Amino acid sequence: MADETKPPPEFIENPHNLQTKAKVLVGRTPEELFKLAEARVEKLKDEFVQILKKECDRLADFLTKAESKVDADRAAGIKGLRRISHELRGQGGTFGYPLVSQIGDSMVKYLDANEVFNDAELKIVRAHVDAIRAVSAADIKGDGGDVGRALMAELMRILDKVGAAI
Amino acid sequence: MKLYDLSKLSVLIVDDNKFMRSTMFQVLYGLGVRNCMQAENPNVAISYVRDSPIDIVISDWDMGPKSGLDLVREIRAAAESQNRLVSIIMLTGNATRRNVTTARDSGITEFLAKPVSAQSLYARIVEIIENPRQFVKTGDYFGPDRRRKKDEDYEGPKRRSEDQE
Repeated sequence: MADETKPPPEFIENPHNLQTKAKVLVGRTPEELFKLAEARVEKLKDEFVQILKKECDRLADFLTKAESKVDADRAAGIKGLRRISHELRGQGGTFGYPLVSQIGDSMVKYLDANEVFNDAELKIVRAHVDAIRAVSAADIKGDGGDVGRALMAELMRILDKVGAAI
Repeated sequence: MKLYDLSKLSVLIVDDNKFMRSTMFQVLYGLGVRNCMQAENPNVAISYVRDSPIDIVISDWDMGPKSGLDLVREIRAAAESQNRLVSIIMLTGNATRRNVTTARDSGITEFLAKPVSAQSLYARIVEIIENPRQFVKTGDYFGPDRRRKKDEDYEGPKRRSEDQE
């Protein structure tokens, strides 16, 4: 039955038909564009590596804050850890560091899933920070081969213990 | 997938992270976009949307204090704006089903999970080009029709109220 209290929907044609502006280039494939775009991203990779190093230092600083006995510092520490992890998860994969994205994503989800961070929770947070720092320090690209798999397996083992998951 | 000449499109990137804006700019430039504006927060983005012809807004979700969702709602609510119907791609590192639904119900056009690749971004732009959607205004929603395509073979129940009259 129709809901008589709701007005009927009004439909509006979309005036922004982009097909008038974006023409198909016949006989060519988008792979050539992907290569151009990837080459431009490649040029930013060094900058990303430097940002990652700096963010690892900031993660360590925020972790120290999160472990403080002062409530305000703890809250600021957790907020900072979340912010950096969120940024890194959005960037790592783009620059060939998918483990950074995976660990960052896991950290954000863990931080969002918990309200109180006592010693047990902070141990999990520290495991994430250590894992990201390890990726940065050893410059682990892609899945990292055996080293990368061992790193992720260890993080998963720690998360499994508390029923969390990557 | 077809290769489109994107050089005539105007794109606005909205992200509070300068490095991410640079990255998106480089990806878009590589894909052929030549008219690309950048805004560091939704308030700056709104001024662009109000004053400039824009074809696609690409916005990060998680910005503070105003989020990408707030930006979408402002754009869709601005009845006098020439860009009220602009296509919006929402970017997020937190692509949960719930977030996809929330973004869709706020009036986005496409959703794109981070980390972004040239392929994934191009695919969303092509979707906007090839399948422009009409807009729908209901009591509590204004945005692209959330039914993407008419499925002629669909035999299940129709859930819109007007379908049942």
